[in-house]
Amino acid sequence: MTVREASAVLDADAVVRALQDVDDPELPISIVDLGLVESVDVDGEDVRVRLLPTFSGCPALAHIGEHARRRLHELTGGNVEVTWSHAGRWTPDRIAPHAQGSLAEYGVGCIAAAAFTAPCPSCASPATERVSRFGSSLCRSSFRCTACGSRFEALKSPGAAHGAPA
Amino acid sequence: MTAFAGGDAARAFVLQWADDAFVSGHWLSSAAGTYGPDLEENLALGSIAQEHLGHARALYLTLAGDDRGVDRLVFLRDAAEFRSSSLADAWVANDWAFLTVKELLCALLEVARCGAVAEAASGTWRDLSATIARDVEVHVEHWQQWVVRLGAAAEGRERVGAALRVLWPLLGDAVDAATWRDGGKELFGADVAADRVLAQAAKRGRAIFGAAAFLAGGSDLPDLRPPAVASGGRAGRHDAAFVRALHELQSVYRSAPEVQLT
Repeated sequence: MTVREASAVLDADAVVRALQDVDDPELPISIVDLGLVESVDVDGEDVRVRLLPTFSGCPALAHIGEHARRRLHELTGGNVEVTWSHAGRWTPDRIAPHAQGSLAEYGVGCIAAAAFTAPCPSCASPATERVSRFGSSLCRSSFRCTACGSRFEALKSPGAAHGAPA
Repeated sequence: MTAFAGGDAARAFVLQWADDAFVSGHWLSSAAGTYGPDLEENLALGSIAQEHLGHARALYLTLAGDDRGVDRLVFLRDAAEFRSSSLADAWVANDWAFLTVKELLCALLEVARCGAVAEAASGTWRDLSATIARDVEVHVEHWQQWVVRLGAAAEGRERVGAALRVLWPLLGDAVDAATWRDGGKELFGADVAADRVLAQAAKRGRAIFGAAAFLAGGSDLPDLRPPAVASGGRAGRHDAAFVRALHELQSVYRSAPEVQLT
């Protein structure tokens, strides 16, 4: 059964607000704050959303798409289309600044697209070194903080090397 | 669900592409956690496997339209219906040099194939092939670093050389000139030229392996040409290890195909 919300006007802002309720399954932030929402089109009651994957091989794509679809069906009785786009490249720069704080509390850092390294999410020191390009999931690299000794992971950009040696 | 926009040759071309990614990824995922020489490398194997499987899913989706259809392609086809290349099929337990050479050759072929598709195609096919190439270039770099490390000692050079003797000829069998030409025309309006894809992958492979250092007795890596007719895995011929792994993979789904996972 579809529960439709009482909403005066369905517009792109309302769609984005609804998608704020859809969290990434591995991170404590929404897919909006993670920067996955590429475009929103609203035509009357119909909604089309294009999402940009962090990594094209991410195993959570079907899960995220399904949750976004369900949330939007609560918002509108019209057609809902959620698709993944391969045009464009997600980078950690797309993460909302306020969400980077939530990630740091969670122990996950971010590698800015133009940077080769990530500050430590525990002590904020920039004195960190990459242990491996790869991490416990596709979108992460492994790091060590030389200031406080923490091991942590940081979200990375897909593709091209970050410049640091392996 | 979106219907696949292509004929039989186009379907065959995409199926080969998807099956290569799927089979490479499945073998690698079965080894993640134990095969690598250290913890970091085992994490790397998991990520690389996941990336192969993600590419396979994206490609299968173009054929099947939705995830239930992808499941049917993966779990309900018999071995002889899979069109993965013999290179993607190749697997040896616990031989790091063999895995390094296999993954590197697969990655070189993938990048070259994606480059040819990106040149021939437009729109979503161009975007998808560019994305796959971008991801797989990272694999090339990763495995290339291992070739350098293995090449630093005599035993490593011998093992890489032994793997090359087995795997290099399979690179030639991994292209299928007729299917790629006809499939490319149907799907993109232009050929995917198997000879050029092969030449490009082989050229990078020769440069990386610096063959003389790995092959004893002054021998060199033989020249490769696309086979006249599809052979090995491309013709549906897979070895006993492949069939066993496939049976294991499919057994749960086949015992309860009505169960929906999502």
